[in-house]
Amino acid sequence: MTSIDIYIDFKSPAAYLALAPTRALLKSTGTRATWHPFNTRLSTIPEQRADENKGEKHRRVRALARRDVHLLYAEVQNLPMVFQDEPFEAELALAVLQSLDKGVDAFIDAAFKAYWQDLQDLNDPVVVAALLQDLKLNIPLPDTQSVNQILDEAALAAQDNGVIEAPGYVVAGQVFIGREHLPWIEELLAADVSA
Amino acid sequence: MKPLESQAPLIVYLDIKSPYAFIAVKPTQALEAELGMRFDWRGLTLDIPSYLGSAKKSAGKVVASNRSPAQWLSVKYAYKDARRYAERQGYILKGTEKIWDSSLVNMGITWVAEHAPERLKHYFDAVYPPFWRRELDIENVNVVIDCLGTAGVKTEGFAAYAYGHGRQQHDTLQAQLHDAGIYGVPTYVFDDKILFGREHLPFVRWSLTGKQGPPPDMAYSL
Repeated sequence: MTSIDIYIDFKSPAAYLALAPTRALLKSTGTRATWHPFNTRLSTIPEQRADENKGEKHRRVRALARRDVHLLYAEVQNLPMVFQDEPFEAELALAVLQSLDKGVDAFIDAAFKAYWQDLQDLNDPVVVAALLQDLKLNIPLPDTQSVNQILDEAALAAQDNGVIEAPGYVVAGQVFIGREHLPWIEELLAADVSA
Repeated sequence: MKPLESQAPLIVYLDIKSPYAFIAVKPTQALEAELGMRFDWRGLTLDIPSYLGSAKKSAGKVVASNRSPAQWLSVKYAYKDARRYAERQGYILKGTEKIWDSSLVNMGITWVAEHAPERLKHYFDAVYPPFWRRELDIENVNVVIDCLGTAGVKTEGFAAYAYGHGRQQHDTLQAQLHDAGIYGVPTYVFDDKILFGREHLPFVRWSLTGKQGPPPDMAYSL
């Protein structure tokens, strides 16, 4: 069986939209995935200001366009997706992901759904504990200090592998950021199978 | 010229100094040929330092930079990524030594589109691959004129255009782009959509061919 490392963040809209096509690829190629947390920078849309400079205007226009594109492809995938005005972080759920040794796929599905469809705070211990309970996964929640340590170590490991954003894929020694690379990733996985 | 208006079914914004625009040219041209359409190709001169910091290299080493570590990582990944796709297309893509002013060579796109649109492919062939091999000084108007000549496009009057009407037209269009929702290259404008990146070409194709069947997800072509 071939293998791939995949870096995700539950608050990343691109990672959310990559989940179904990535899962489909894993299934069709018989690939085993190792999922890693990657704590991205929280992305918000800057408010338009009368005195914004060119760089600020660029970042605002880019943020608006990216949100619209995510919503376009959510519609393409028939996937519910709601952007919050003041989005939550997701560190606790990401730290839990790193700690899981079973039920990983189910937890990923539940966490993405909780964030993008049910608008839940994945940094809230009550919310994350409920997700785990629903999935009958009995692991203790890490405290804030442990969460920070887990995610710092995960960030260093990701950096060592060349991952700079989510979703990130590391396969056959190459790093790919974004599901738009899935055709090439599929080619690499197929080559690995036939080798 | 208005940023979102065209007689063509698709507006394509490119910048010669963008590696991502470079590797979008072939698949976009392939789509144009496949559909038997003529797209409206336009230059968009990116002001990179305003949003991605600036840097200058000499002999492969960075000699000046105001980029943050995160911006550097992003730029390095972007070049590495563009390079591997360029190689698949049979091109060499070397990182640039500085951030070029590509306005002249981008005005060349408009010049060709106005005088010999059927020669655009030849103009892109004359400017893109040599620029990315570091063989072309795109800030020199005579170099751009040579490229026009190589592409089989009339060169007489280009210099006056580039410092007169062409410059005015270029600057006027650039000033409208952000307000129109355009911020990078390649950008594709059609119907009510503005999509940045060649990963949208499957969706563009689906839209331009009557939206038959389910819409495709984003993907790079190989």
